[in-house]
Amino acid sequence: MVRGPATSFLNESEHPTRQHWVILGMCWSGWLFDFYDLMLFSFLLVPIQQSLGVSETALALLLGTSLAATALGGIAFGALADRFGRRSVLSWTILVYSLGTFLCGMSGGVGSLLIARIVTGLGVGGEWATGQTLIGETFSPQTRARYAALMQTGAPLGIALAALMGGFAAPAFANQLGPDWGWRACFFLSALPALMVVVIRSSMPESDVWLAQRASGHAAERGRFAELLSDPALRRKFGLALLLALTGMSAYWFTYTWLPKYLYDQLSLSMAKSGAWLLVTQAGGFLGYLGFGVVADRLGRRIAYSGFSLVWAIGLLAVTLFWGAIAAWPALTLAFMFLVGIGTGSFSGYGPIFTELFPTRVRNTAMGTAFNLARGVQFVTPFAIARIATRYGLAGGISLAAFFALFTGAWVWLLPETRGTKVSAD
Amino acid sequence: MRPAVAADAPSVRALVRAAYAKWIPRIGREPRPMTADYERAIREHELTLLFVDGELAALLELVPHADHVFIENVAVLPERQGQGLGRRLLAHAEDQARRRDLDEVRLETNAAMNTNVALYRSLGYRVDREEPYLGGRAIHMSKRLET
Repeated sequence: MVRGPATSFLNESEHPTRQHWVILGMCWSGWLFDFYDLMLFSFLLVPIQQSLGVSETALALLLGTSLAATALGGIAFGALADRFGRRSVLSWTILVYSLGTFLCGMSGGVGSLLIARIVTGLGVGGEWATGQTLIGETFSPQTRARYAALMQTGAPLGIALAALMGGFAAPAFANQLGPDWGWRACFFLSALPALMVVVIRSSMPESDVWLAQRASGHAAERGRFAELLSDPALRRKFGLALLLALTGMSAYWFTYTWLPKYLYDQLSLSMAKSGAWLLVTQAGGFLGYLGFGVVADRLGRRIAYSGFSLVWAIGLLAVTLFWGAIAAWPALTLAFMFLVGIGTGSFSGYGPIFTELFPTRVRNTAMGTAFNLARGVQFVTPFAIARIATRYGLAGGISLAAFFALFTGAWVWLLPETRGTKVSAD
Repeated sequence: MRPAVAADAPSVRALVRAAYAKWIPRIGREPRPMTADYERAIREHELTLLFVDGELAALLELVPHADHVFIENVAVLPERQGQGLGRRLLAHAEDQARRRDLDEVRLETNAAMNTNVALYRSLGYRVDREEPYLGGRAIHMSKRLET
């Protein structure tokens, strides 16, 4: 029955209010700096290696460990957010990844750097699911995918910001402070997003649906993981959702791990150097993220997900298996790279789909675990592609991403269509 | 049977007001569905209209949740009541829940609407809890579905 204004939830408001914009602003910038902190390390690799003398083996260990730490952080903070609330845990994750970044700047060797990257990874893993849960629970079912997609655009902007920091700020600082302090200054400066916590604590509301759920006393009695895995209906949904995230992540990491090197080998030198392709895929990704939200609210989550996955696969197959047919037209290759970017917009789907599949008492646990476990296992991707590439070439390895994309586009139909699901204190 | 569209709002309101009018003397006020905003309900909820001989005869309003489907409203025109239309729509509600992989349907009714409570019981719904509501009592009922 229609509730009176006294008891209405934020998600019963048809249009976003000031409180909604504060929530979106915090989740969006939280995700922007999350991705920024994850990638900043890669953009500062060269000066760090020179300064600390990091070997290639140690480097692989550093990159792999921080990705594995995101899995652990996603699972742990997801469960904590179901217990202590989305607002508190969002602050904690931002504090943790900012602390990790600050510690990176203080590192004196591989050991301390490893610890700092693990701390960063823990926070980075926790932020996404908490932010997506908060948006999913407070925006109306009719606009949920659109605003979840807006939060998602923080990722490409975070990458761009990290690139600017590594490409321009680091050399500038190094000029002023010397080569040992240039990269450290970048890390110190990058701890500033921790100040967002002040705004979160003073102006951002807690998810009122979560508050009502907790007040109802229907909390998971046996612990959240136990409930997720023992209730047959929840277990089935969680399994389907985990595989969707797993194959989707594989498509993403197979696409981006070695695409730069592949394009560098294939493209004319001027085009590779100009970085035009990177700009084109990231612009496509930005539009893809936003476009996905609109399509998913209008036509449904599954249709949007399949459609964007198909576009992704077409773009990838064109630039790998059918490279010979399009290589003569640089504009055409860029057009297909743009399609690859657009297709990755399907990543905007995970937040709304997972929000709608799981009840409030286990929502953040399920979302954090599925998304970050799927990302954590991607540390094997570079090795997998290397094995495949020795037999079928780099194009063969990367084209597998297209098959992963097509697979997720079909797999999503095993899940129910969830558009219009009301999020309540269940 | 077909889903309601924006243009149906006036006829939906007329149907609901006719269907619930008989309860006014019993509960001493207009039941809440009589005053609901049906333009908004059609936008946000799943409304199914049931036609008999081309005339709107009954409707079902559902709200899907993450782990159940909530039956917001079942209304049958007074002259069509007792012909099994309500049962048909409630069966449709269960189909909709299964289509979404959900294994529970829930509803809330007024204790004073005794024939409704009896109908739900006969269809396998059980009472989860009762609470005071606007001078009467609200009954929360649910039914587990075989999957």
